[in-house]
Amino acid sequence: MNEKTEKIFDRCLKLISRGYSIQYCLKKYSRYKDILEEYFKTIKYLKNLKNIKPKDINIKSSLDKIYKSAKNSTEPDMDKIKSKTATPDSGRRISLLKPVIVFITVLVVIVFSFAGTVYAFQDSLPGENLYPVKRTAESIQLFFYPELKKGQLHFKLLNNRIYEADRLIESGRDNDIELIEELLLDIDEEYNQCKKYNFFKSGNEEEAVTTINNIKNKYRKKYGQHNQDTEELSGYNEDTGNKENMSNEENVGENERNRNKKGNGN
Amino acid sequence: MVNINFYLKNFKKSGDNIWFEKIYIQFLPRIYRFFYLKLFDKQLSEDLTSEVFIRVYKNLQKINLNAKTFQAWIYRIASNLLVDHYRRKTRHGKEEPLEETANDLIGNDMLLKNSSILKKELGFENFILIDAMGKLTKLQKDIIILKFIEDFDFKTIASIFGKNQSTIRGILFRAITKLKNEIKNNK
Repeated sequence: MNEKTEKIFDRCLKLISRGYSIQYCLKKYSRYKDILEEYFKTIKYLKNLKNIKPKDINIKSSLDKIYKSAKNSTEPDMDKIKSKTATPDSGRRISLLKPVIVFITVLVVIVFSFAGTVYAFQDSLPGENLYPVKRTAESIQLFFYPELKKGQLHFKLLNNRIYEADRLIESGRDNDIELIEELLLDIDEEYNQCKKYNFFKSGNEEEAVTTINNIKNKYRKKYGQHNQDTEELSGYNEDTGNKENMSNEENVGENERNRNKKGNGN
Repeated sequence: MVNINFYLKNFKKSGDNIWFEKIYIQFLPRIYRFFYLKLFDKQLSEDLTSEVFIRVYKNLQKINLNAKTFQAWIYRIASNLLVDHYRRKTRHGKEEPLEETANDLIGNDMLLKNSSILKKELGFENFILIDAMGKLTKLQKDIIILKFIEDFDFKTIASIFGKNQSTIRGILFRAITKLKNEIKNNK
């Protein structure tokens, strides 16, 4: 009974707060009319207490007192008003935190979107939309990389180019020929850079050269007669063995020259 | 409420005391009443009310508040000052349990002490009501005052006491039932 009355009473309060009259409420819940009337009578008594007011207060003088006391007091009041609750005096904290929250949110969004983009472009291949982003990011990384470790980074980039070329060759699309040729030139370029920064002193030059040559062979096998130019560029001709006697270094150097030649031609 | 928003905005913007004065005039009787219904001492209620406004004046420009949050904030200050007052009393020998669920011993003590003056000041009916309110716990009394005398909504009351609205609704119903029965018995 009590629970039911509580529910009805609560519903009545809601209705009244929405602008309905007490009479409407009593009518709506006519079964509970007597009990509800008792409650509303008590509330009416309580409303009478609104008449309690400070008497004979001189507003002007009490305000002056407040201004004076506020000026004289140096105590940081907000620290005194400690609240366990979230809303009332946490308003200030929230307002102070607002720019911080906004900044953190923006930062998180930027970091996540950047991370997402990085993740996406790391796996991109030539011809894809994100590939230029990847290359730009590499150039930036290279620019800021310590001089002493640049060889290491060039070696990483060399592997990246080999990997990309390999994937493009695997895909076997005719449209990719130009892109692969570009990559092969880049491979030579990266190889030269590794040499320039003495990266191969540690002894993995042979492995690198073998890998480069393998990828070039793979390319040639796949695209066969399509790429006379590339065969020339690679400095390698498996069928004729014309340049087979060249050392690996010479091979790469030859490629570099060919590249320049091609550049001039353009 | 719309006016309060306007005054708050202008005071924050300009710092002109004229806007603070308008807020003061609107809230002075309410804060005074809040103290008076707990302490039944005019002078003490006036002093504590002034203290509330000093704190409000000192901090109002630093905080972003709208009418509702301001209302909750100012009552929070009043409520904290009341707790401080109880603590001071406790130190001076009076035992006052500070929990919200305890009865308001100091208030009841004051009510008993000033009963003859209060009967004159408030009128017999109001005195009976206030006497009956002495049977409520401090929290019940606060919620009754804020809801039915100051016309706060449940959301604001819940934020002042750091409780959820359904808890406040439950406490309010138990309080009003107790009060209704007490008044019935006293008559």
